[in-house]
Amino acid sequence: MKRKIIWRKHLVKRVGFLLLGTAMFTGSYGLVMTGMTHLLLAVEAKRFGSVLVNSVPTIHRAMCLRMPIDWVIYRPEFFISRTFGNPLYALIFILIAISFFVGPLFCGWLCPAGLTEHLSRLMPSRLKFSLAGKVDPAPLRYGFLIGYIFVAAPMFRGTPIRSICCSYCNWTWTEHVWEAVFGDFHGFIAWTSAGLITFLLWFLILGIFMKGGRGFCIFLCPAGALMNLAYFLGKHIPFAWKLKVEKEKCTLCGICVRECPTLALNIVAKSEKTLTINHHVCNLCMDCVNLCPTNALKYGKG
Amino acid sequence: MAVKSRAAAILIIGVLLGFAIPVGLGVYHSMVRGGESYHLFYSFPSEKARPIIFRYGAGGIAKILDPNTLGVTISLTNVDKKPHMIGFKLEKLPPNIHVHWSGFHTKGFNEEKHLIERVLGPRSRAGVHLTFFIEQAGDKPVIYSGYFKVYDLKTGDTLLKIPIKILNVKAAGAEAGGGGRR
Ligand code: SF4
Ligand code: SF4
Ligand code: SF4
Repeated sequence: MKRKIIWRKHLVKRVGFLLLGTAMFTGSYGLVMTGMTHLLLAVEAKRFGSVLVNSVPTIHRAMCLRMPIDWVIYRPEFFISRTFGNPLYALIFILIAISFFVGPLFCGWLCPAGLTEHLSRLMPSRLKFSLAGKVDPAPLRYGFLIGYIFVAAPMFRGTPIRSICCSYCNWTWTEHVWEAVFGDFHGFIAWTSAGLITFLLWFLILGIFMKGGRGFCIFLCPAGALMNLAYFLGKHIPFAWKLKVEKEKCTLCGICVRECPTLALNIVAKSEKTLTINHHVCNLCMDCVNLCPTNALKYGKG
Repeated sequence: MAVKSRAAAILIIGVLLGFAIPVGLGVYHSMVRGGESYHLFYSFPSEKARPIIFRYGAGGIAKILDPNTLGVTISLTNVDKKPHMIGFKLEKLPPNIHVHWSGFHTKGFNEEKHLIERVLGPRSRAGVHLTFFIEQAGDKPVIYSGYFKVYDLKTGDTLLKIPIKILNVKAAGAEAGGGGRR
């Protein structure tokens, strides 16, 4: 009973944070984005002598976590000039740096695209498929990241190989979904095939119909892959925070393995059976910490 | 040993599969986008503008339900030192094409008059989204060949003229054609 209360409180907290992340970052409603855009436009107006705020702030104007990855690699001078004009373009690198020390907390708690996880919980179990204990998402995830960077290379200009940065973006869809909640359905009209595929993958197949609802995150998000890579590298330093399992407390009941939304937990048989944490995909949602009946999982320093 | 090499094989297959996904998705997108929609960026005033070339009939899965529409979002930046109030025109539009005009993340866009009711200062941006509804494409290889014009509402001066072509890939003798790039 006590465990149930802890779990419910945890869920309420997480949904609260998701809504906070949405309010901060999503679409024209995003407080951080709107504030930043108006601030920048005011600065521009001062510099250029006009007082004309004309753009409506959007995810593209203020908070894309994908484009800056390509810019830094292929057009660093462009990245610097854009970021000088809009510091939020550096956000992804700030998040990567934070992940190095404390892990990808942004993914577990604030990213508005994580909405699919909470919607997936509302879907009856019989309609969902589960990949828990069946696949290791890390190779595919990093392969995708490499491919994502590869196709954006300038040498492919004018060839059929092209960047997928903007055409297959789940954040654009997050924005469209929230806009639709507020009565603006323009994102659902004039579909492109790329948009349709993204929606099917992010929202439906790997979203609400997959147990955990985080399939797009663990397989197809380059920003998340970079944050987890940083987390994995950082966890080796003694003062970094990470998720750990206290082996002597773990009874190998498997509850956490079944419930982990990112397929990060597994019970493997080495010399003896042990619970392993895959830091390449764990997004520090802390579901396992709150579900474990013996408090064997801990997030902390060292 | 066998377990280790199996794990290595799974790892390599996983990475290769992951790598193939963005490559495949990118190629698919470049194959079908000319038959669906573009998002292109232009600056004004400018003498030159790269053309927009649609390939009607070459769209992908999204066109199964909606085969007769094509769309383009044109993002514009005022690179002049002075502000402009701007309006838009589509020239040489034939009667078998209907166009729906809307602003793209732009305040003050007048959908009926095709203009922006606010002054655009230097470096200000605006966006227009055009949806072309094609009624009876016929069998001519070129459905539309005209211009999207950006003009100054006060002086009437043309600030930008973007050539737009809609090719009919299903018509006999259709030209092959690429499009702009994002
Ligand atoms: S993996 Fe990507 S989409 Fe998922 S929560 Fe992290 S940043 Fe957001
Ligand atoms: S829920 Fe706790 S006890 Fe059960 S397998 Fe996970 S860590 Fe071990
Ligand atoms: S391992 Fe735990 S904290 Fe990490 S994603 Fe899975 S449930 Fe969340």
